[in-house]
Amino acid sequence: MANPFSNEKDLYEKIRRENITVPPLVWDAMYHYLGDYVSAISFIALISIEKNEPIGIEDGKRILDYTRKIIETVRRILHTQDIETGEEPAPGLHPLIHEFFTHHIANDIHCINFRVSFFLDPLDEQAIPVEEAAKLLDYTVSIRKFLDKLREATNKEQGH
Amino acid sequence: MSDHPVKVLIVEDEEGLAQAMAGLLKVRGLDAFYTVDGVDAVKLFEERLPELCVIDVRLGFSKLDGLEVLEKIKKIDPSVECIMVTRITEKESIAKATALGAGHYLLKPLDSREWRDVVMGIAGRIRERRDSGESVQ
Repeated sequence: MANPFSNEKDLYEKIRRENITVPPLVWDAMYHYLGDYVSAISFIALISIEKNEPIGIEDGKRILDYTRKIIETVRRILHTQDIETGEEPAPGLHPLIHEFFTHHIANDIHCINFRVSFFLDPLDEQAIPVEEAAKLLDYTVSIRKFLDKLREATNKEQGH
Repeated sequence: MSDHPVKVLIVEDEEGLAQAMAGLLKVRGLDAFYTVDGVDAVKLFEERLPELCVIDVRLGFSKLDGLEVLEKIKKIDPSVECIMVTRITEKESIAKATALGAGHYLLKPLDSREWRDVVMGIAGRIRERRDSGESVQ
């Protein structure tokens, strides 16, 4: 799970105090894409745990595909791309919110991606052990909790 | 005592997720099947008469969205248990689904353990009602 910022509690306080909001379209896109893909990873991991069987290679590839789609989606939502200047935070998105999304969601998704990629090395593909499935499940829970927490902190009529 | 497994219809437009949901319920001994399309969902419902439906409110390019599916299947069998899956950003859908008779709703991203516990809890109550000969309300 992405480690919290050392001053994370203060940052959430700042969001509440300064009425920092997340544009509704950003929430919509986050929930729409993350909703499906993060949920799917969560289910694949839980099936492995319930059956006490490793995640098969095909399902592992599916997880990798979901993580790539999430990474691409988050990148598109959070940045406007400019050939000259490179990527900039999307207009209207407070830098603190941008930082939170990048840190919590992108890091957790990259961790899932790295962990699964390790077992799906093209030269030596292996099923993903149950212990790893439990960790993948924890990452999905962490993403959900982060979204809930940020939503609660920014939950105002104008910004949800 | 009726020991045939509880039939569960999953209506979810992300096929990988629908497949995984059905897979999880099969591990738990339920007769789970799925479709990614709203129109197919109503047909499948009429053919197989599931006792429990899990329906995503937003069904991509389907001609019927999840709320319309709910409305149609509740007309066919008002006693069917329905869990709606939605997003926190779709507050109006939650209110509409409740008005149409959905007893439960869950929010995406789903926690698969919470989802499993809710579905298995309802499946358990369906079995108990079957065993006691009560009609399912």
